[in-house]
Amino acid sequence: MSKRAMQETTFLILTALAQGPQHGYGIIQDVGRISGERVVMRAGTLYGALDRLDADGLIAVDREEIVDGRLRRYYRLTEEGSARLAEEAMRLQSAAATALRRLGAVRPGLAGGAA
Amino acid sequence: MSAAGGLPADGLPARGLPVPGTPHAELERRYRRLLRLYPREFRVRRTDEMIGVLMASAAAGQRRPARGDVRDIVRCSLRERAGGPRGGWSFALAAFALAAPLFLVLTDILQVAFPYAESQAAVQRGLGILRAHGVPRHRGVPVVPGVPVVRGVPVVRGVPVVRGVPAAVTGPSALMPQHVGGLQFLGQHAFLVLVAGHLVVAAAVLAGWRRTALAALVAASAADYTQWAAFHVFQPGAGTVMFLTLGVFLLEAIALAVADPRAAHRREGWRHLVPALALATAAQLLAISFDASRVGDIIVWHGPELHATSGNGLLAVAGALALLAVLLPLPLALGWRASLLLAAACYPLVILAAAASGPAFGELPETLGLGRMPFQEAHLVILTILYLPPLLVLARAVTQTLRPRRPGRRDLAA
Repeated sequence: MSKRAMQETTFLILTALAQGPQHGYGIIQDVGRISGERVVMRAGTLYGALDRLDADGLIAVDREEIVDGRLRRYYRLTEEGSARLAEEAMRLQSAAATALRRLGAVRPGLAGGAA
Repeated sequence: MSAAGGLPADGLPARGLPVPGTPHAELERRYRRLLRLYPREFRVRRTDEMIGVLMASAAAGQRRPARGDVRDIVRCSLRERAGGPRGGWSFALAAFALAAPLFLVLTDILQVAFPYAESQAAVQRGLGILRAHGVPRHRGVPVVPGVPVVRGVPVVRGVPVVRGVPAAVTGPSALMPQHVGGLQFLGQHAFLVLVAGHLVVAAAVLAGWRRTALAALVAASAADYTQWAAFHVFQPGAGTVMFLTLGVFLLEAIALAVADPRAAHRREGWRHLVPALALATAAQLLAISFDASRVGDIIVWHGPELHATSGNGLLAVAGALALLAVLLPLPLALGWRASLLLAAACYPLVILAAAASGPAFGELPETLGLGRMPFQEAHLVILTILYLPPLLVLARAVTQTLRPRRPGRRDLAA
């Protein structure tokens, strides 16, 4: 994988799956919650991203169910997906910590408890 | 394993399949219609799942797709089509390997189906030029200017060609306009050999005999090149179709070596034939327009004569058709890589078309400063200029195709 920053969509989907396997609608709702309802993920974006993540080996199909006559496919993180998510989360954390520390040096009120 | 947070056990509202005639059923029908924007391969895998998600997100009583969903689906389906089916370069090469032989057979058919001829005025004008240069008559058969152009015209061989005048050709009835293409081609051995080669390649590719196809390709391209090299001077017009076919041969040989065309056929049916047909038609129009710009007047299909500077109109139509052929893989969901391969195949022709529209037409070696170079070496330099960029595209495609796959990536042939 390249060392480029992960797209936000990718990061949110992987984070949603970090808790355990989920189906498409579950991922969409979870992404809303994780982002504080800032990101509204829609079906087209979600399934385009799932295809890409599957091809890159970051996620895999966990199982399929038929519920009320509709197909429901559950996805899970692969080991490579977990590793990439952890790597990205640490990168973001380190960048955020740096930003907050520097802001704290100038405007102490902003740093809050995170510094 | 349960869904996150405060979702119900499965995270979906308790809603089953809609009852026909209800707003819900209408909404589902509209969403399904919208999802047709996606390429077939994507729809087969995803429609049911996506409908489940879209319907679960819908409000009670909603009849029409949400505007945000419509925008999202339109945008994502276009991206899906441009990106093409999964499989990347190996798929693009497989689709090319399947379409190219059919393109070659189509060019043969078009040459027979749409013959054309010099006008009598062009014959007279050419004779005047030859007389001014003191070109003698051969045993009472006057030398006729104007070029028989298309591949597979054996009469060109061994005919003395005078530099600085149009290529001279002796014909059986020399004062008659030179006819190009048509049923007469079927009586020419060189053309028949070429057609046989193309048919063998097409049949072998469809049957999955890649080695046989490769062998037939090499034989046919050698025949093609020999025809062109026999002209003794560099004449773009004389090799119009050949410049394209030689490029296609090159790409086809390498595509066959690394990709299985049958895999593309199983997945995509015959969609790749549409760009092949457009490109073959463009090639035939280009051949006619190049000849028209060399000779002056050309009678097309024994219909109305084109004007003295003619060729430009046809050249524009042919160029537009070639551009269409190159772009067609995008809406057909064959992907941008297929477009790039077609563009690489067209590259030599684009260079020649540029030369044809300028004053340097027919004097490419001189324009490139190759005038004093020995003939064979000049040929090599020109071939390098014409075919190096397509080869670079191919090298990229091949290295990407042969790169070891990541775990989880699905194999094209699977």
